[in-house]
Amino acid sequence: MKSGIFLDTFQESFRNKMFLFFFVASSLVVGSIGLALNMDVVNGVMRGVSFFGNELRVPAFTVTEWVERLQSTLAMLIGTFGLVLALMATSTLFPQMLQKGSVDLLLCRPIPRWRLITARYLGGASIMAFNAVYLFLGVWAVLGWKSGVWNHGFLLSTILAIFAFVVLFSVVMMVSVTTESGPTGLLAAVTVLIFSPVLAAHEQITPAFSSELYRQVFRSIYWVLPKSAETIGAMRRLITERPLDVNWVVGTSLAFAVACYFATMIYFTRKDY
Amino acid sequence: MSPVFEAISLSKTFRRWWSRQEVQALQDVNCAVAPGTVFGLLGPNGAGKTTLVKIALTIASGDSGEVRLLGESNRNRSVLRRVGYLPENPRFPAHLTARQTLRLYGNLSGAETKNVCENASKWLERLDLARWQDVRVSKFSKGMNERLAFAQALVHDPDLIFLDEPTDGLDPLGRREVRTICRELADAGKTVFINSHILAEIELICDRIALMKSGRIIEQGTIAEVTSSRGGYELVVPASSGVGEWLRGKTLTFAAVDGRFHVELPDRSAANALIDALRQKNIEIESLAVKRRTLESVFFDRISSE
Repeated sequence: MKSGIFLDTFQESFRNKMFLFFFVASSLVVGSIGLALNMDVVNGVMRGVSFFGNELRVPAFTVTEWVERLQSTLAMLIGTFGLVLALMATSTLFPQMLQKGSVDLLLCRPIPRWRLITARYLGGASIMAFNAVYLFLGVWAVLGWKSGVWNHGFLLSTILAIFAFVVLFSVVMMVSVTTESGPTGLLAAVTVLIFSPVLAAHEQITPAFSSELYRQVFRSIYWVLPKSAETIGAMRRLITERPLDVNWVVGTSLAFAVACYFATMIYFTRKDY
Repeated sequence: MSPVFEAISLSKTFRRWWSRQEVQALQDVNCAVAPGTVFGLLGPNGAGKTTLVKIALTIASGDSGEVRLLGESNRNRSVLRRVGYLPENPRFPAHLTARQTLRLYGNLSGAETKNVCENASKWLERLDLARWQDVRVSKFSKGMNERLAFAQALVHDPDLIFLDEPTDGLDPLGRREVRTICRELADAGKTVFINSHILAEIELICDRIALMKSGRIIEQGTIAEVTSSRGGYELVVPASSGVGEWLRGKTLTFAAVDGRFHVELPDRSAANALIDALRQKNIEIESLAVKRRTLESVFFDRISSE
């Protein structure tokens, strides 16, 4: 009984090709790097790079520097575009479950309501986590094989990528359950993501405010909302082996995600359907 | 024997938080259903029938009162393992086949997978879905969807089954099969609770009914009790000479049909009085019968008079 909704979420993603889309997209990235990227290295320094036969101009980086920068760029792309795609793909999971006629069939079962929503959430998060691990592991393996540079920081950044998704997915869950609208949940999460770098620059922005009240409000919003921009930034620092201080980023973002989770549970367990 | 379904002083008001508008969906509803019966809940649209069932199944919550299922409070969710439900307009995950759907919902009800698989085969066969068991439900017609929903309500072998408009979208053969299955379930000791506004169906299968209007139960009883208590009697005598004038002299309502007089009498005492008078006059009595009203006429009368 316990794994029914969790497994059904996976089945649904297979059926609506979501899983297939991400798997194919990830495979294309890994395959492109593996087959189409060629590096010309002389005495540990990059002399030339070609991609699909096209020569790319590269500065005189060492192989390690070049691989780190490539991985860092990929992580940025995954942390932005990839994250948005993942949120788009999973934004319909909750509204579909809550449709009239569908939710009745679930709520009449001997399963607590919180467990239904949690299983759905974990199912969606697991699907994206699997895809993220596949992509990061694939890129790490292919680049490592081609260049001889095995950057464990890139592998570890998978955890931060999954974490960034899980936090924003909690926003999708809370908003889409309360509004019963997938697009609204997605908009809320993407808005948080887009404004995250703006909020991250609060120390540069708040001096421009005329009122101390506005400055406090802005800083409060920054501290309450998840730190998606800092999380993606932390991925880059991890990949390029720079000093990392993410405890406060992870802590506050996790607290926000937990708050979204509990708000959803309180709402869902009390609502009449 | 204790009831398998009990609503005790159940009330529910729906409110919108942004307006003062309120809808009293249920007002102090009291209802009990005995085991091994088919119970019908009737009422016009908006009477509160579906709200009552949803509160019983914890899909919604009541403001006051209590619901007991199979002797236990419905707050104890484990009792729902023994309850089946066919909702109005059921919607299944489009990516599943019929068999997968039954397996999912059977497992969610806590039944053993082996039993669920056996019951799934049985009910798919019985409800004429065996050919479609490996077809995705997104390809099902409305009638097939309803039959699958019926199978889903039974796949975990529940003791109490709630059916909300179970014949909606079914052809006459399907409706007959549903009626047959409901009867068989009741004969096997299970209890079937049917929500419907199709009176003819209710009249054919239910042992007891309750009539709801505006959140209240306004009538309860067996079909016979509900329909016969207002029908009166019909006495038939041969249309011999002089009988017609004699009956007119008694200011009785009667009709001449095929050489007989059909006399309408309002109650038992009037019937007995006329029998005595006819026997004193040596007028033969051909037949005396309780004049039943149809459930539909009772329904219209009660709904419009309340």
